[in-house]
Amino acid sequence: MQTYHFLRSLAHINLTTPSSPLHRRSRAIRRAAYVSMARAASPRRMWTRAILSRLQLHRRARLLRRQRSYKKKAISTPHDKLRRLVPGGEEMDFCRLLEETVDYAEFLSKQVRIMESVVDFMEAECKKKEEKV
Amino acid sequence: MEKEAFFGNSTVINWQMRSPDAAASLPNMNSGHVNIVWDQTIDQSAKFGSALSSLVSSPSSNPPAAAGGGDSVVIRELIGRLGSICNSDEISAPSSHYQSANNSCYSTPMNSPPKLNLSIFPNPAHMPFSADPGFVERAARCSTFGCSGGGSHGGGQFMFPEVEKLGNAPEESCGSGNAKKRKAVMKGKGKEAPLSSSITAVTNPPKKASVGGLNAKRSKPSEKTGIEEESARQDGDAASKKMEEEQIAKPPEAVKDYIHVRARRGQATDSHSLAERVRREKISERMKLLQDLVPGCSKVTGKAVMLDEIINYVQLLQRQVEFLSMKLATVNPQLDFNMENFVNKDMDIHQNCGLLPPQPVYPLEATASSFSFANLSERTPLISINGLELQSQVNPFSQPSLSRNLSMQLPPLEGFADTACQLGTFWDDDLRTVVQMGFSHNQENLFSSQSFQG
Repeated sequence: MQTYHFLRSLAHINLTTPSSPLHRRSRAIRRAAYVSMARAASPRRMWTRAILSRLQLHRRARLLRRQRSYKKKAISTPHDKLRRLVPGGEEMDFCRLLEETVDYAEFLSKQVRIMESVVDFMEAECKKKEEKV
Repeated sequence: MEKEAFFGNSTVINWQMRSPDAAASLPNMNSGHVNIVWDQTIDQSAKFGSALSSLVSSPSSNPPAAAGGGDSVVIRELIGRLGSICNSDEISAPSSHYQSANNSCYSTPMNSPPKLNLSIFPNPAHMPFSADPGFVERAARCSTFGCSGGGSHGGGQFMFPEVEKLGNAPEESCGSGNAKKRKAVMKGKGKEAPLSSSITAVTNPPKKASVGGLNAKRSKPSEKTGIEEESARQDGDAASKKMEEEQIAKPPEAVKDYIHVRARRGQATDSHSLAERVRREKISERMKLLQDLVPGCSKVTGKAVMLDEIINYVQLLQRQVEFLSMKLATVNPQLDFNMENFVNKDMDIHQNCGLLPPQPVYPLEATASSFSFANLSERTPLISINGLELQSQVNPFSQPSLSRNLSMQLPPLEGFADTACQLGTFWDDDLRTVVQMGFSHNQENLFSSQSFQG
C-alpha cells in the first residue's frame, strides 16, 4: 500500500512537473512520501491524521502554526523534542506519544527503505542506459 | 486512565469466568452468554489495537443467536481471540494483513460473518470445523507461527482431518486456557502473580493482618517508587513468602474492591496510584517496543538516554527521507518511460524462470482467465512468506471480470516486484499490500476497504 501510493504519486509528480525547479520537485516528493506513509497506516493514529490534515491546510494556517510552534520552543525537554518530531504530537499525553512514535518510526523506516530501493533501481537503470548508449 | 485500567482488567476476569462457563454452556447456548463473550472480546480489542475493531465488529453486527446456534458463536469468539493474539503478537506488520488472513482461514468471503459458513456448506464433513475447539488451538498456533502454519492452510481444504482428530468438547477448555496464558504472556506482566496473591489474601484469615500491620505500613510508601516495584516483580516467588505476611495486612475489603485492577501485594490500592501504575507500565511497554525498533538502543539503560536515542533515530529517518526525495528529484525525470520498458522485459523473464513450483492448488485460481494473473499467483509465493496472506490474496479472484482489470494494473507491479527480489526481502509486505491495494482499488464496492487496508 505504502509503495503503491508512493510510486503512484511519484509518477504523478513526474508527469505534472517534469521541468520545475529541483527544490520544488524534491519537496513534492517528500510530501508524497509522508502522505503515502499516512495512507498506509491506520487512520486512527494521530500522526496520520496530522499529516493528512496538514496537507489540506492553507498556507496562511501553516504560517500561523509555525509562529505558534516558535513560541513553544522556549522550553525543550526531550519530551517536547519528540513531540515536535512526531506529527500531531503537540496535543498528546506522553503515553500516547510513545505509542504514536513506535508506529511512526516503523512507517518511517519502511518509507526510507522503499525510497532507497527506488533510488537504487533507478540508478541501476541509468547505468544500463549509459552502457547501451 | 483509570477507566482504561478497569477495562483491561475486567477482561482478565471475564476470561477466567468464561472458560469453565463456556465448556458448560456449549451444548445449550443462550444469547446472554453470547453477549458476555462479545463484550469481552470487544474490550480486548479496545485494549490491544484499533485495527482489530473492524474485524470484531463485522461478525458482532449480526444478531447473536440468529442462525447456526452455538457453533457460529464459538467461531466468532475465536476470531476475536485470534485477532487479538495476532495484534499483540505482530506489532511490526500492518495488522490489516492479519485480519484478512484470519478471515480467509475460515474460508469465508472477506466480509461475511462466520455464520454464513454453516449455510454455505451444509455438508456434514465441513460442519465439525466450525464447532471444533481443536481448531481454535490450531489456529491460534498458526497465528503465532504464521509462516509454518500458512502452507497447510493454503492447501485447499483447511486441514479438516487433523482438526477432527483434535477436536472434542473437553479440549475447548484446554484451548482457551492456552490462549489465555499466551495473552498473559503477551502483556508481559506475569498476570498469575497478582491473581494468586489476591486470592491468598482473601482466603487468609484476618488474624495475621494484625500481626503484619506495622510492617506493611512501613513497606507501602517505599514500594510506590518504580524501582522497588520492579525488584518486587523480579523477585517473584522467592520474595513472595516474606511479602505475603506483610501484605496480608491489607484489609480484605480493599482487596476485593480492586481485585480487577492489577494491584500486587504491598502496592498502594487507591485509584490514583493504580492508574499511575498502569500508565507507567504502558510507558515501559512502549519503551521496550521502541528499544527493539531503534538500532543500538538495546544496550542503553535509562529512559532519558533512550528517549534521546529515539529522538535521534526519528530525526535521522526524517532527514533520510528528505535526502532521498532530493535524490529522487534529480534522478527521476530521465527514467520515466525507460522504466516501463524495463518492466515489460522483466515480465518475460519471469514467465520463464519459475523459481518455485506453484503453491498448493487454489481452486479459485483455475477460474481466473487472464494469463498475467496466473503468472502473478505463481510468483507470489516467492514474495510472500505467509500462506495465509496468499489465501487472502487469491480469494478476490473469484470474479473473472475483475482479473481482467487486474491484468491492466499488473505490469508496473511486476516490475517492482522484481526489484524487490533483487534488493532484499524487506519489501515483501509492502508488495503484498501493493497487490492487495490493486485489488481493493478495483472492487471497492465488493469489499469494504477497511477489511483490506486497515
